[in-house]
Amino acid sequence: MSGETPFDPRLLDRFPADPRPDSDVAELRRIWAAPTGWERLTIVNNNYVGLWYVAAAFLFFLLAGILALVMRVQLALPLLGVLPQETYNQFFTMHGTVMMFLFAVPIMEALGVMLLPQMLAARDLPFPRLSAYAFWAYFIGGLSFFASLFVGLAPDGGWFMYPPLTSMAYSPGINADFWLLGIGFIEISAIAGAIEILVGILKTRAPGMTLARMPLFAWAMLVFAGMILIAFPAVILATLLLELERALNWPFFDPTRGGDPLLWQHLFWFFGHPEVYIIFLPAAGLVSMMVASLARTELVGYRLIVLALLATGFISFGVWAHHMFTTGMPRLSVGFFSAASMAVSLPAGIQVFSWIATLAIGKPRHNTPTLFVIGGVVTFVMGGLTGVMVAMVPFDWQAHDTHFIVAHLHYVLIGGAVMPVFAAFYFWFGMTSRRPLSERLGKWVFWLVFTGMHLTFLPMHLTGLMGMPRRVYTYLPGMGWEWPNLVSTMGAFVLGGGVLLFLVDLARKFRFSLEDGAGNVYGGGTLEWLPTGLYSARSIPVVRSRSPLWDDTGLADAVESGRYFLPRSVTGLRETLITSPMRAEPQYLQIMMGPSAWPFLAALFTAGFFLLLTVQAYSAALVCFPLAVLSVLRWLWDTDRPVRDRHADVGAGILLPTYMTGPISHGWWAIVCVLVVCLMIFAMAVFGYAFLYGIHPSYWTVPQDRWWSAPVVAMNGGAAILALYGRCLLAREASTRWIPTSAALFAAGSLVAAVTTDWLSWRAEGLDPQLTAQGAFSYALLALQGLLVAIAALMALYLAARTSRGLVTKPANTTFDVVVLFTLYTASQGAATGLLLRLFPGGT
Amino acid sequence: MRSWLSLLGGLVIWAVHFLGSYLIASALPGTTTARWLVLVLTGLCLSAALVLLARARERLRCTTDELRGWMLVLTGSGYSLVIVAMVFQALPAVID
Repeated sequence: MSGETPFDPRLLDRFPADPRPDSDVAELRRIWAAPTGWERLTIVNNNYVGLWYVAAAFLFFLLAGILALVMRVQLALPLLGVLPQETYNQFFTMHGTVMMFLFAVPIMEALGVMLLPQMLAARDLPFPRLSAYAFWAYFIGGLSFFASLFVGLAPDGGWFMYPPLTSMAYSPGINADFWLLGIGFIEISAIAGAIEILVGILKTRAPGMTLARMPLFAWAMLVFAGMILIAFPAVILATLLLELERALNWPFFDPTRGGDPLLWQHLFWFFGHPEVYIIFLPAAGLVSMMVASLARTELVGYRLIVLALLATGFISFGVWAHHMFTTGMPRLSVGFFSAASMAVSLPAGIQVFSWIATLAIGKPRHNTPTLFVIGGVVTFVMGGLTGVMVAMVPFDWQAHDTHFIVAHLHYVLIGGAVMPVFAAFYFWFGMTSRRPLSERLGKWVFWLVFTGMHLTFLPMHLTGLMGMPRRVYTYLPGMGWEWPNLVSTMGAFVLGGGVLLFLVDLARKFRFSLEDGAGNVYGGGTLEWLPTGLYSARSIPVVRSRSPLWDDTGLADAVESGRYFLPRSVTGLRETLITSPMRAEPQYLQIMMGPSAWPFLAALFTAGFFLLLTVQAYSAALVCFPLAVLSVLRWLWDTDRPVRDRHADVGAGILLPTYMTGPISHGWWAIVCVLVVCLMIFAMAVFGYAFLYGIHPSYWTVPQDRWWSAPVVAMNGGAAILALYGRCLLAREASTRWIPTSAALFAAGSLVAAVTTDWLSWRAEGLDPQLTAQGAFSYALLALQGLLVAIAALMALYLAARTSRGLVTKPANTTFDVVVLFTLYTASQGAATGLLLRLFPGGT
Repeated sequence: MRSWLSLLGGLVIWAVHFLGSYLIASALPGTTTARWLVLVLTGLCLSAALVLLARARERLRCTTDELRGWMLVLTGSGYSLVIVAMVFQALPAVID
């Protein structure tokens, strides 16, 4: 592995080049200027979108925190009547759901959106409009979801919404539908953000920032994004299945018709456990970066921490059933999950020891972020210890569903995520605010939060072991639970007081500014501390170490003088460099999209569609749906437009292409990520199908007309061949404008024919989705295929529209590639579905 | 792609071991056959990890490229970690 690309690394020795004139900066400012007034809704730049994202996530943290305070008041003494039982159920469900789905993961995505481009010295994330869409979808969806509390329609089945409690029999109202449709939609937004972050980290790093020099927050976010792509499809499928059961009476989770409630638990926890590491890993990445700066020394064990992040990312997928130890799973299976649950503490321990070693050899100062880092590590380790305790099955059988688990989860989440986030607020505040947060008040904030946290949750270990269950709205006197609960309640208000003090300081000190920020108060050594504007750094430096600002004290001035890559806009448009994944060798110049109203409108109409479905306003939902689709298409219409100059001087006489297609292009990477998500949804559906057969084989019948799989596979195969043929035709000079696109259109037609044939053949066989889980799952798989086919057909029509306007370039075109890849995947899934439903179960 | 597969190779082997163990235990619950199959799978996965670890060490001895060397050390550490994890995870098949 010498060069990863044809780029000659010796060209990087041309930098730093000669300084550039100040007129270049004025032009950069003009090109990257943010709209004002109402047009702020069209902003796509990461500095604004990231800030709004962070603010929104923190707002949800506060809202969920208020719910917790009210719950603690209710539990302060036995038989208090502050909240009626039904309302209490809504409160704890919303507290958990909002904290996990609307705060914990989004705050990490938000910090990624805000910090990563600057850390990597990219001008923005690679798909700015996608981040804007992800933010608005999350914000509008989240607020609407929370508002359900005010009309008494908040979900009340616990944050993990187990059937049969959440099936129609026991939850006939639309409360559960708010959760299912609301969270399902918000998770789509999270996936969009993850794709953005993954492609951004691998493709937009500053030249020379090899994987070995990448900031640890970037490594953590890379693993975070990969985990989201693998884990979130499980909960999207689960919410879809439960909603189908509730709306159409398809018995996925009804054991009287071949379904099983355990299927929900498997699907949910396959998402749910990686979810907590999705929350923890970015926080760990932040801690790794802060620890080095705060201790004023290089981080001990960089490579080991990278290993720990990767290992956690994998092993966390092997522990999901430790949430199900009490469900009667086979003993050997339970043993594997127990062992894996203990094994996953190894990589976490590596990180903790690394942080301790760094603090020990360095010279940390007594300041607020250091306090939050140390406090967080102490708290997280305590939570980790109880985690290993509950990994032991017999212990878990006693502690499951008691307050012991509530204590454990809050210790790991507050220690492992909330405190690092607070530390990060203090550490990076100077990037975006003219004034730093107060150190004096910050220490008060820390001690109130730390003390309050331990006062609240330490006694819960005791109440849990004394038998107090979770999710109970009150308890009888004389159980010995009174004093611990009272102490917990007092602690909660101490914790709340700390957060309130933080808010006061925030209001006093936060004054948004990028070019005039308070600066690098705590002495960080990475690129986000370069002087920046909305265009990020003035020029994109060549990175030669892990802490460039520590190792090259003249770097900031050289960057500001325009002595590196892209000191000006080459094309007059927003641009950034695309580099290779391993060695960050420059590959091409990416033209980036600017402000647009379409992402906001697309988010509004998508949220509207899901929310109107929830309240059963079907006609209005049917209006929103095409508007959402049209908004997305209109947004995409502006993209994939090659510029006149096929090559551009990106600095020091280095010429790079301005347009790239194929596996090198960022668009290709994005669609591959989307296909990974689709594949995971399908894989989880196949798992569910096989699982239900394994649990209740007596409800399964052997398919009769197996021969139908032949034409289904043939039509899907034909679609794949036509799509590939179209791609070959595009590369041929002799092809006219419409021939390749016609092949893509015919491919889409073949997909439609395949899924229609499949569907009709099962109808003819008399398979009833309401009668058995086999029927339900078969039609669910067909519906999933139908959805992909509809998207593929829409993409083909969109391609035809672009062809009619001469926007499909030859010999290669990114939009064409994206359509072909999606068609290939859809055809593969269609063929697999056709075979699976007819060949499994076997027999005659 | 090869470099990524090499880097994540150990963790992929772990995933195969875990998934295989889980599927075997689910398909043949409560049987001695399941335990033996898991032990066979463990043996195969451990052998693969050890072979690949040895190859990574050999390649490390021959490389002069800084990034490649860094990645090979990471790769080797990964194999070492998963060897420990797989041995630990196979213990339920051994312990009654």
